[in-house]
Amino acid sequence: MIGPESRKMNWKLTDDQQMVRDMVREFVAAEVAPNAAEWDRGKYFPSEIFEKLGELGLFGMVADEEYGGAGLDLVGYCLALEELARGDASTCVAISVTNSLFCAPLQRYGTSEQKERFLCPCVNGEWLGAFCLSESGAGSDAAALSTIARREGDDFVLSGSKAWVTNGAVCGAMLVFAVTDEESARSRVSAFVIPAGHPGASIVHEEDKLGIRSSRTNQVALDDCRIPREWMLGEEGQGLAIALNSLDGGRAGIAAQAVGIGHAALAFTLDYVREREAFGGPIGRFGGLQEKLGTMAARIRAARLLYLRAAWLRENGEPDTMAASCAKLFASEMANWVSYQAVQMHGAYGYVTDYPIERLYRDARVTTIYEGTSEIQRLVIARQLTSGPG
Amino acid sequence: MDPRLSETETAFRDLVRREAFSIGVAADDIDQGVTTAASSIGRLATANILGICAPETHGGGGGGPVELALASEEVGAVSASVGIVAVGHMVSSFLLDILGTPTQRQKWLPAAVEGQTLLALVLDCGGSLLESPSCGVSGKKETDRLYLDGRARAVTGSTLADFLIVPVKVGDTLLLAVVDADRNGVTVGIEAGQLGLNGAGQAPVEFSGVQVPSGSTLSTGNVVETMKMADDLFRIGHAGLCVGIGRAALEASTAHVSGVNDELCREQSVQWMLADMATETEAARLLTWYAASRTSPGEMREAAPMARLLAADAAVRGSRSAVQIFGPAGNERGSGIERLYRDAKAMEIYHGAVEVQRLAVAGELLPRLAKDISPWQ
Repeated sequence: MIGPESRKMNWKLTDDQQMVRDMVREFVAAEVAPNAAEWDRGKYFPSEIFEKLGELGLFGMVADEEYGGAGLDLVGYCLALEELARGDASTCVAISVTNSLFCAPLQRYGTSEQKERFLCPCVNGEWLGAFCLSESGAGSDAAALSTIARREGDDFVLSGSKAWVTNGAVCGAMLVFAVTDEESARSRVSAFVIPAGHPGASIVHEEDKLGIRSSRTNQVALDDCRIPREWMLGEEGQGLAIALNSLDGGRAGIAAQAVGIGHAALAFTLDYVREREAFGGPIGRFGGLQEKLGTMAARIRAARLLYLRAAWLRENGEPDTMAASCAKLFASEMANWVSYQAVQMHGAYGYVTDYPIERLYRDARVTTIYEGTSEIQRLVIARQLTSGPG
Repeated sequence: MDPRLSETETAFRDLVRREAFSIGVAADDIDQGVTTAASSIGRLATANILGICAPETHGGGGGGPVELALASEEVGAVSASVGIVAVGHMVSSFLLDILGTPTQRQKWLPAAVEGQTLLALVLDCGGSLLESPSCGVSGKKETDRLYLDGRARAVTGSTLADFLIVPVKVGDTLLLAVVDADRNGVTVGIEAGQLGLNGAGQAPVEFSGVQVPSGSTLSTGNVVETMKMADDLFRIGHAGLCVGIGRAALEASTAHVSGVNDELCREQSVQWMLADMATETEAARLLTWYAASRTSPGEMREAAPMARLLAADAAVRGSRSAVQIFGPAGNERGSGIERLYRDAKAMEIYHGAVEVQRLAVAGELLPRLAKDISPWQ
């Protein structure tokens, strides 16, 4: 060895990180994974399972201990998401949105009253959160929002329509982004917290999706929805910054979800190629398949290291934009490639619903789309490279 | 968990980077046969880089696989040809250290650490270390003397080496012979022009009835297990070289579009290539560091071929994009850009082709039950 040193590069998990990982792994194996196929087929949102997940504290993993949260670091949080996604990507996304896109911004930008009212119920497992940024005409181009928040005395009145809202119909409160200053270029948008069922806010549509079918994705209509000023999160005009910061933080989480999907696909495929016989023996003896398996495993492992690193950097206040985008890009593309290969190796069995592979293939698809498409990640990375500090 | 390099690791990497700069100046000359890699290797020795992994008792730096990975990335970024010779030397030193008797270590290691002698492993070009006994050289024992016969097609570093380390099977026993390159019966051929890794001294080596002196075979301890460990070190070193090629491609491309041609910066086709290069290189680097920092041989055996194959992919794709981004300028001999592409391609082949690495990973996974495939602590 070169010499004694307290700090060395290492990938060892802390006791807390291992504990949460193991706890979620056990729960998923017992209660989530065995039912995921049925939920998917029925587009069934398993409220009874979410009650238990809430009791386990998974709705407010990243909330501070001051508000009753686990105060779990982002590495432990992402490990938990990977475990969830191995069992069911739909369950995973509901938890991910609640933590990354609802609890985290409240934790960071909320007043103590806002935290008491909106964050604590998540921590206590009473409700899920939702994030209303995208609109039918504004996705990647988030600044192009058209939902308006009009000032009336001490209130704001919101009008517009929000699209692709995960947990829309099953949340307790949602974070809504709306235009407060149409003239401004940089501080056009503000963020608001609106409890579910508040007059003027209604769920008008439920999407029928290719994948993650047992999660809820809704359209939310805001029809002269009057809310008090106290429900504004952060400063007026700070909305876009809050949205982008939250999405930055969510990227490692989606990468972890993608790794979970990829890992499950590899695990099922390994079992399959050992058992399935063709031409006089198990198909796993064929080099062509073995080579695919080797590459799958390598890409999964690399994606895991990328999300762990991104989560660690953010947790420790280091610049993480590049690392998070690399992790999201690599992991989501990996999950699609790996699940594609898994279907191929299963042959016809990979194409039918008797096996979990077609579901993983469908569930993987959204990971390159939501919370920043692969194209947006590439733009972010390229800009960091050509104009960033290094 | 801490994914950053430690202060000592960073300091070592910076040291190699400084030395690598001057190697980079000679890289195109080495590639085109104007000069050999010998003086660059000498530089690495003088800066105590070549012996970083050797034990301190013999003048080495006492480092491990992480230092190997860091050094190989830096050298790979300037000259993969120099890098592959250096990695071969470092892994040979490891074999000498583990399999040698105290006398043998004393005899060969200090000179190897100081770069007075260069070591080359006699492997067939495409084969990995473990397959090397089938490379074409065979050993025969006659009245207690070992004789070597046969021909290895392309031995990295052989035209530069002072000693050849030859893995041979005698009966059922695997051992390593240390052969003076000038010894009677040893014929090192001429390095032919190659697509990539030119100047790495890759030439055929012929053994005709070469008598190995007693005391020149290494067989202390478990030779097979040590060879497996050496194979993993090989993979980590070569993965590092590939990460270096990928990084060089990325850095050159980024500088090119940022400085020389600002308009290119705004082309999405270029932005996409840069982003993919950065992402794949980072993924390969993390996997290489991860493999290098494994403390159990089992974990390293699984992770090292993963790193090696992903790094080779990243190097080939990244350097191909670099040539594309530079356009005709990148296609010119001597630009340094097309060399990256040629070297990367060769790295997919030499000393454990990517196919071998993929099979190695699968070989680690398949015997285990699916529920056990994540040995994540």
